[in-house]
Amino acid sequence: MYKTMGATALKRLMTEYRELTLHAPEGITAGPITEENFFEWEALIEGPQDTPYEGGIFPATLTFPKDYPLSPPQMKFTCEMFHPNIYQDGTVCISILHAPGDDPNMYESSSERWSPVQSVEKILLSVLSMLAEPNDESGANIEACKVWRSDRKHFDNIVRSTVRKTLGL
Amino acid sequence: MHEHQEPTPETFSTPVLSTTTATATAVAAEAAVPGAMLATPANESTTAQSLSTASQEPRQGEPTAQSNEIQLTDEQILTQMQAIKDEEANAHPLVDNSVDLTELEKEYENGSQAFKNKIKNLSDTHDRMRRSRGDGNCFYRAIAFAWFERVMLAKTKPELYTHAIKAMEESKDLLLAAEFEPLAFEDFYAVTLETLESVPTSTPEALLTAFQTDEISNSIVMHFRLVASAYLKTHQEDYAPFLEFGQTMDEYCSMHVEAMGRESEEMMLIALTKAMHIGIEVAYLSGNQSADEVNFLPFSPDTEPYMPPLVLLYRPGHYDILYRKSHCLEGVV
Repeated sequence: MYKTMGATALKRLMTEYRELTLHAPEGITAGPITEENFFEWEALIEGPQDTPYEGGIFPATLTFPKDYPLSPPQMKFTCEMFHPNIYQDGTVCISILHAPGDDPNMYESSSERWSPVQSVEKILLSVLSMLAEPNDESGANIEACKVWRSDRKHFDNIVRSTVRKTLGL
Repeated sequence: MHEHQEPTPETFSTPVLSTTTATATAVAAEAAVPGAMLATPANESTTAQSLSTASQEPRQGEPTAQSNEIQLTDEQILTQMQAIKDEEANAHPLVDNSVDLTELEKEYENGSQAFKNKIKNLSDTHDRMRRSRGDGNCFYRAIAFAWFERVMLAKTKPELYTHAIKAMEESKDLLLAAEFEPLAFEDFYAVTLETLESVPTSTPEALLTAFQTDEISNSIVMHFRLVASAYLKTHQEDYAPFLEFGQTMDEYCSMHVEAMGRESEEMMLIALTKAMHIGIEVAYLSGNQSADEVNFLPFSPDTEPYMPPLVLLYRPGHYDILYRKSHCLEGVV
């Protein structure tokens, strides 16, 4: 009857990992960095087609709290990313990573929020669509917001140069 | 989040407000929580708020004056909010020992006569109460504990346990009917069912300990949340008219029901009575001067209830468990 802290989280993460391995959505790979610690994952995200991120493969870490999935993980790109909804330190700022009520960026009330009904897969799919369609209403990188709004061509150029860096070119 | 236990309103209300302004108030909140750690240095990342007032950037190394508006990143604000929640958590168990109703009277020693009269009259029929932590989950936790406790104390009536198991199994069918993915609910369901199945061979003390253990207690809360959500989703025609204009039931449930810490509304209470086939009586204790009696609001399931109604004490923003005198709870201290 008594569970050690994190047992539910571990069980859920193992199930999600298995599911993601068997039925990985296109453009996404994710799993624990080492099998000794299921609370730290690495994800690789392919830049969506017909966006300046196309051709890039972007690594990110997912850090899960001990009470996952009651609380959401944090997601942070470990490569240079220029995007309105990604902080300069790589931290991803989208509504699905925040429970309703945790509202630092004043997300729209209808936007998708964290609850245990969500999953790693849903987060990564949201991140893919975030790359394709930035939301400049809740910006994390203000410089990226400004450029994205005012000079799309310049924005695309900056992104493409980060893509090249990611690929080590 | 705004739900807080009556005796300690000051621990919660002010800091919560500060999170929307992210200025000196938030700093004051941090000062009030010695354990609050900042996740990143204040200048490492930038928020929309801080950029809009870029000319007021904090100067590093200078002491923080009250008038000097320090800008915090979102993560710092969330870390502080978590610290405030943790402080609340350490102050009260998730579900407390039951106490005599005189403890409730004491809370209003310096309160209005209206409260005193109501509590006095309430104590003619009810003699004990049990507090549920004011963490936004108090309704679900109170109703779940009261339900489990009834099953526990009805050992001489094994049919009640059978009904409870049946209601639990049906709740899983309801979740599937509402098209929740098994991944989303199976772990919470398993913990809840396992706790229920342990009831016949367990003790009231062990049940209370389970409800005071984060992992078990929160899993059960989550199961009850999902059940309420599933009921509302599968009965949209009855409940959608009560939503804000333009809001769908799915949106409402994901914002207000399915996430931990979101306060309940009457709709969730009705949903749980119907989904779990239980009656709930809500004793509404207010400072209303024109009445000397606590107002009892009954909520009934559509089906024949298999146990007398569970009784909750409601004060605006918070639920606790209340016990009728006839339901004397020997052994559950």
